[in-house]
Amino acid sequence: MTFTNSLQRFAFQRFLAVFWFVLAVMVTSGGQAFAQLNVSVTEGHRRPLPIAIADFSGPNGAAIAASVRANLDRSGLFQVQNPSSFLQKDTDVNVAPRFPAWREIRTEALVIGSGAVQNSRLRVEFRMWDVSGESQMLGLEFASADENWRRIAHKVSDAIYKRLTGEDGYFDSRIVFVAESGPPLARIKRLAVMDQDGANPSFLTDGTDLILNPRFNAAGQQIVYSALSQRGLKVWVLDIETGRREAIQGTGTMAYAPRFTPDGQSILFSSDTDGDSNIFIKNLRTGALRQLTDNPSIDTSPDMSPDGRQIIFTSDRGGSPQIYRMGADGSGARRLSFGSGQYSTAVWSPKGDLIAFTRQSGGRFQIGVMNADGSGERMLAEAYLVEGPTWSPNGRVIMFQREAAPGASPSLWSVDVSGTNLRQVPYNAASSDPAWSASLP
Amino acid sequence: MTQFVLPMQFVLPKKRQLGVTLVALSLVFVASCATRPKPVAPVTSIPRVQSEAASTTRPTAPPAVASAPTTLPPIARAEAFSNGANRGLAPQAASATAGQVAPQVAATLGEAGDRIFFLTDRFDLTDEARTVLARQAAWISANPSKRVIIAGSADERGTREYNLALGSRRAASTRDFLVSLGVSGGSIETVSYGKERPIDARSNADGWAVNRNALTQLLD
Repeated sequence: MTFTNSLQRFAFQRFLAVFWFVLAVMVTSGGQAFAQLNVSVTEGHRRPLPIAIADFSGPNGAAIAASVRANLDRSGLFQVQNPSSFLQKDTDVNVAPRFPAWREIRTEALVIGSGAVQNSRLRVEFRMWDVSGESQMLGLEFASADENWRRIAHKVSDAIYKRLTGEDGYFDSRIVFVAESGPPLARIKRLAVMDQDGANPSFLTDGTDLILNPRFNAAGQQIVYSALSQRGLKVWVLDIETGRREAIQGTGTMAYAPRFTPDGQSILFSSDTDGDSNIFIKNLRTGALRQLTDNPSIDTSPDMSPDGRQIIFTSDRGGSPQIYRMGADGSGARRLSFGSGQYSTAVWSPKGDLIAFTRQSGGRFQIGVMNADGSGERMLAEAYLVEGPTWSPNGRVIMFQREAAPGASPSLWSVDVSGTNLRQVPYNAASSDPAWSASLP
Repeated sequence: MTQFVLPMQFVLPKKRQLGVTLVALSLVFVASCATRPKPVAPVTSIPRVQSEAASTTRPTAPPAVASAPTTLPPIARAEAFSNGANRGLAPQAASATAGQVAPQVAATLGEAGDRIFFLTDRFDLTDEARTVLARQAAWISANPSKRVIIAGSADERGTREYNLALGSRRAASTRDFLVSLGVSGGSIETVSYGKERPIDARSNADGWAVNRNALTQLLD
């Protein structure tokens, strides 16, 4: 079946490592030139940095450059120059560019690269130049199997992003999500994965069950998700490499809302007995099951902090769904959300300093963030339906599911944590429940 | 039983170790503002680790056998329930019982009325729902060999995971009422469909009203 091939291919791609090398970081005229050429990521004072990416020479060179351009453009931090405006066409990775020709089109950074294939192995080298300082900022080489050129493009993008923003990039990462198809009253929901830019989508289940809320473990080798059949709702852990699946059960008859703990050792989830949902944690190695909440209210959507010390979750113990925080052992629960409306599906940022959540208020849904203590709440996006935020590996971007209007097909959107740069993820089919992987190794 | 039919036979590449090769590179670049291109020292690299081993074939579990589809009756479509005042009563149930003396045990669960409806964010039973469940209870008690599964549903105005919990509450309150009427709890399973299986595609008050429901179906 096709999805088997897809899983094979996905597993294969997953482990085609991209080898990288520091070519050279040359400072020819001191740090002075560097100082000018940085993207400010301070909220509200951002100036997109003009950058030109020349088509790389060699196999897939134009596609690699296009992929890098698309990555940087979608980040909102760069003003990616249109290649048709370039005055110098004869760029060579080993030749210094004619800087005046690039100053003429008002670019500040310039990337020139080339690739070559030998024994089915693609090596891509590139240099980034400070146009006004006329100095090289970055020189790197990546190598991998030649069909893996997209990952090389993402590694190149990550390197440029990090050099210019000072933050880690997030382009070499994947999204696990639910691919939807079929009419509204007979929906098919399949487990799917794709690159963060919407490329290489593949489907890991056949659509028999409705797949809900899939999430990666930190290593990106396992996916946990809920599967709804007419008979039951179960949590499964899928090992991508081996294809093995393991059911995760609590004491109740239904299990849902699963998430890996940051160390990947355990699954947090909701188990439901007679309409009472509580939060459980199950250790995958020892099988030990522990109940963390015990009350007649709904307790669901747990997420453990990156340091493993705290769990945020959704509970209606106060009368309506709100965000609560408790210790990793279930102790000391206290309410975090106090704004108007209903709050749910809270997730920690990778650094543990912020919490993203879904709010339902005034007949609309919002995606918002708050500080880890519940203060400083602000909304980033709103629509008829937005839900299920997930953080990019560097904590800069939040992705979520969005339905623009009643009856609209769901799609995946992203927004900068500052609330700017709202964009649809370039995957053009009905999709929901995104969850971001960590950056790939 | 799960209906998962994920085949388990894969040809897997050996996991590759991440090789990191530092490239010793001597670059001599003379910064210049000349318009004439200046040559840059060639890029050379000395790979230290090259673990691009050939793929190995590792047979894993035997091929999964596609499981037979569960024999549940099809989910009723919205049209059967969208006629306003009669909501909660399947149309055929209304006509079949017309003029007859109650309590009459329905011929089928569908005739008894297999779906009840809830108010927004509520899981307590309306009088109308209790009337339908009384007929369900009579039918189930008259058919003691039958087992049923109750699926609770929520409308789309809520997040996915919270609505799964809400649907479960609706299924549980439905079951509890049937048990209070003498039905054996052991003959009833419950599940939540959350907002995943709507029966009315309309995103308005009428559509939401019928999508907040609990459906009782025969298990076998």
